[in-house]
Amino acid sequence: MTEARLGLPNLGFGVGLRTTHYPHILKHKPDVDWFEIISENYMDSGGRPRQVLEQIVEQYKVVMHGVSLSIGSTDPLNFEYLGKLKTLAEWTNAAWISDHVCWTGVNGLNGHDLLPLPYNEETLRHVVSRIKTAQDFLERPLVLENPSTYVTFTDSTMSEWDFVTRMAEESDCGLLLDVNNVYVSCFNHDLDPEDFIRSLPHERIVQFHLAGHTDCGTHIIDTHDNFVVDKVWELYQLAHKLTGGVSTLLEWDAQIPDFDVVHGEVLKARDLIQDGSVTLDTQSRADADSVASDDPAQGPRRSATVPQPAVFVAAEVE
Amino acid sequence: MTKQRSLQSLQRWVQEVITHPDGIAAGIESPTAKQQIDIDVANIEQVVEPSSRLGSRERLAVYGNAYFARLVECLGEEFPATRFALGEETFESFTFGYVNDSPSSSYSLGCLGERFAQYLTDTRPSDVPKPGWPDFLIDLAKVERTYAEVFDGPGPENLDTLKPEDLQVIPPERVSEIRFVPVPSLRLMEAAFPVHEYVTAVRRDRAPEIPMPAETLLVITRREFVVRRGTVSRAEFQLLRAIIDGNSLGQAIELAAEVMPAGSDDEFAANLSEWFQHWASAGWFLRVELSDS
Repeated sequence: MTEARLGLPNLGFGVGLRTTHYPHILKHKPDVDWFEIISENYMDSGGRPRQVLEQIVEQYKVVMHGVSLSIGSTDPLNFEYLGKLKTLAEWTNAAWISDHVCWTGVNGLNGHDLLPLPYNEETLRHVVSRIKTAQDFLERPLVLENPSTYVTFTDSTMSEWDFVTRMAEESDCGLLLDVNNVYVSCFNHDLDPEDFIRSLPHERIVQFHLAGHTDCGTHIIDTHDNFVVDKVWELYQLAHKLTGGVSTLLEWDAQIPDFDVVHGEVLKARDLIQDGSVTLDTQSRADADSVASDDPAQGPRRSATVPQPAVFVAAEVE
Repeated sequence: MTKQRSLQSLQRWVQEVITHPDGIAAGIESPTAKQQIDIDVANIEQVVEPSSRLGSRERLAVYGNAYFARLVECLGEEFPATRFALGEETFESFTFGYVNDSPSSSYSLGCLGERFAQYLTDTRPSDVPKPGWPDFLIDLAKVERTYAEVFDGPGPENLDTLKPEDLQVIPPERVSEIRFVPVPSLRLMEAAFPVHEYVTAVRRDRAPEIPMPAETLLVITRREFVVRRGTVSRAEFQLLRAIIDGNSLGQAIELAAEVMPAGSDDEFAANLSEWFQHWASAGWFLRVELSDS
């Protein structure tokens, strides 16, 4: 029988580390349980991001979250990348390394998007084999997240949750359940998000993600630019009940508010678990529930709604 | 039942379709995409399922739009002054062309802009006299890229740097033999416009006018994790360039003098001591070395 969370600790309620919050965190040392870092923003850094991270890891527990592992790509695994990932994990003493069940490019290119896979036996064999190779190299389990997706393929022969369950069990990896992504994908693909969450191997879920999104009416885009909506909180409550509770992380990547607002949003998860309800202020409810305009038919460059990931570190110049 | 394709074919097809500059439909009809999956736009449902609210083409277009929007947005963060100078729409158009010309092949978005200045150089209109508006943009993109590389690259913060007194122990008869070892972040850049001032103004939320051309010789480095820049004279710039190329001070002076107007020797002689003091106090060098030290 698999140990809950693969034996990894429940770190509590964390926040995604973003450059705009560096000064606040360094000055005020907020009482945050843990931080999640974007691996690619630090693995090659010799400057301020690395220096800030050095101070963060002295005071906080850190988890590494990547966006370029491309575990589902049919290109060869990038061992230079994996080597840098391993070195960073050792340096930060990361509790675990996560990425996504997706691919980001082929033919040597990287589109910097989390592209969906067809869920079938060929893909399963391919992904399981690569996870095992990566885990052997990293000498630790990978924790993989369900991405928000906007298409499904006729090549799929099984549900996403069946695919993820078999993938986790056959490769012995952990799962990062992004509750918002479940909601987004299920809306986009006419599926029941509760069925998705109930069907997963709960003992393999190591971490939850929470985030806001943009409802475009005909589809939802995972923009990480808003408060968490009530329906996602309801799904979070279900996921908490089914897993017994795991590390919970709030992502906010665009139109990022003050640190206290971001931290306050993840602490709603704690309140929800303890009190069974979440109180939203009027503005955050209005922002989170509003419907935005995004017409995919407008064509390239005219769609203002950018799905995650879009995390870039800008230079500081005197 | 639809015949299942290989995962590789599907991925190559998706990438070709969503990165096509003319949109999803043009991508599906492109010969490269058809090599992988030979379907027409009308038959896209054979590959991508529709939802109850959106057709297959619109669903795939979410990825196509996102591909360009994300990368253009990241380039806008790396090149804020270039974006300001061009205006949003023209910047979008230029970066759209750049992304098509030089798609990312790195796991890091930090590498995305490394060829942008070269792209602007390659596509510079040949009928505009130099130095003109295109050269201003090229210089802007160069300096902004240099700032990005210096900001996140190796720096001097954990290293001992040269102190003014370190130079005083060099025997006068051997001064010409010394080699300066630069800090890893030190960069020189020659521009036809004072782009450094323009970048600073944009970063301070001002709305600068496009400056008149003026030879601008920049020294860019990093101290305490913040990028610093300053200007130097032509003589000092040439000397620094020769020193950074690994020449001894004596050789560097000779090389620098070769490209300077006649009579510049006097400028070197008059300013050398002052320059040394400045280089040391600004933290541009780690140390000086003598061949037998």
